[in-house]
Amino acid sequence: MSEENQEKHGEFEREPVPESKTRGLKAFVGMYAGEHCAGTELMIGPLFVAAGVSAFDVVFGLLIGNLLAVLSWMFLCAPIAVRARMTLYYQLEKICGTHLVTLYNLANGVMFCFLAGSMITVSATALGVWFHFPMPGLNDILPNSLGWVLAVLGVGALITLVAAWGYDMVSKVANIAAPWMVLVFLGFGIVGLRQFIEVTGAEVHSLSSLWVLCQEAIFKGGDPLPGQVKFTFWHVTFFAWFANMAMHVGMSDLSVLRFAKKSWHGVASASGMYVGHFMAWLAAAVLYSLQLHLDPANTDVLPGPLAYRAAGVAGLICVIVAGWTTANPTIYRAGLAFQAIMPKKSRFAVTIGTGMLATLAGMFPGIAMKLLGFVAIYGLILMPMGAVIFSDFWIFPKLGLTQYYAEHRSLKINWAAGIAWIGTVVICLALVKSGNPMFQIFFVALPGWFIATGLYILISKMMQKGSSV
Amino acid sequence: MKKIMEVISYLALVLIVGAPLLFYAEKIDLDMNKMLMTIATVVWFLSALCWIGREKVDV
Repeated sequence: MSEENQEKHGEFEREPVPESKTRGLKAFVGMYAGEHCAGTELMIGPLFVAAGVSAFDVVFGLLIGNLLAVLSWMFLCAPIAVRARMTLYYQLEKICGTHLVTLYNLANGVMFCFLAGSMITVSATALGVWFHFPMPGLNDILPNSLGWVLAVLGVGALITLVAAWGYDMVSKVANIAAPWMVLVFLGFGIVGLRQFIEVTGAEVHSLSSLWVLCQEAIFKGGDPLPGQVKFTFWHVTFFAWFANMAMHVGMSDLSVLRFAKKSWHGVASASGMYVGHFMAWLAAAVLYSLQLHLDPANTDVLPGPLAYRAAGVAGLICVIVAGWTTANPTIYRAGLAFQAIMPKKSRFAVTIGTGMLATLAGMFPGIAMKLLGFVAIYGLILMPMGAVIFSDFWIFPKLGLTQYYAEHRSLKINWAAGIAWIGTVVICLALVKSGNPMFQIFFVALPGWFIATGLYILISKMMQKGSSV
Repeated sequence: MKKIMEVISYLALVLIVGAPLLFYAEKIDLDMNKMLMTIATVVWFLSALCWIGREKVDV
């Protein structure tokens, strides 16, 4: 495809991005800040509180975990992105072969569907405030009322139709909503804090007295709510680090950062981490903690009512828009992944099918209520392919191994990459099953990265031994 | 016109965070905070539609 055509489609999907099309830091700062201020942030903050985090654990865990995430973008993903300047899928195709990429697309598409489902769940909780139907509780897995099912169906159908017909329009709404949404999230935190001061009668005149309020009332620590895993400093740190593991360690953002002028532009991810995954999580957590303080029996994590109590109709609009604008591109991306598997199906049909799957997932509140665990599994499943790309790019030349092996040998499947991927996931899940607290689902991806790297190098050495390329 | 809309949008954003700050400072009550945030939301979307996305994106 000529550069003119490429530019028209705006993608450079099967060739490196030319230097002339690279972008400055500013373009990425805005993109990351908007992308990581999503509807699901309104679930994650409260779930930390439900997990019994203490003030020190949540504040310093998030500061360090988000820093580790930014460093992963800067030093794992961005350096390869700006050198190869290829999409994740094209790079994977060259390493793994088309059949394995298809399998990866399937896994990616399914995970995106579940993620979009939880975003639809978040939006549907706003409808409950208006229509007063019974909404799911913290430990509900299955839909608990007809009203809930109809609300999710309505929101899901609307989001799906818009994703299929008017993606550009929603993109525009998302761009417009992003700065407003960030400030509404901040408003949630400020209002929640004031209400906490009122109900506890605390005197807050300085940072140290605010810290005392956080320790004694907002993030008291102690036992988690029934059915929840206890979160310590390490849980929060690793969760924040790996919440977007598929994107940084898993290299999904190669497709984004290939447009960056310099690899240090990966630092732009800090805007998303410290706005969305620090401020927004803490703000939502304050609202939920206030709810528990006022009524310890009310453990429901429902972003709609939480936001309404703090910001009225603006809060409800924020919940709907946050869920909608982030579910939309997620359904679209899942559709793209599925379409790669079924290229003869129209984009419209695939997006409708994907949206229906996401809507079905959204009806089951168990996914959103167990979002902490789901996010960890999501990262774990897609991470090994990032380790494969890392090894292929940096380690293979040093070991004298052939890079982009599937392309060189015209393979449909590079078994070294396939075994490293599936093998790592199986080993990690077995480690989780072992029950050793060191290998909880929130931590296991760290040893998993080394397992994937080791497996890929070892099997590639065996495969490439004696083969002339 | 575009410039005026831009100024109105930024004022709406100031109000979005200003209302909670006023509530924090006990200058307004919660109902007033909710109303101001909702007004600011409506003003932001209406005014921002007139200029965001119509400018050349900085790449």
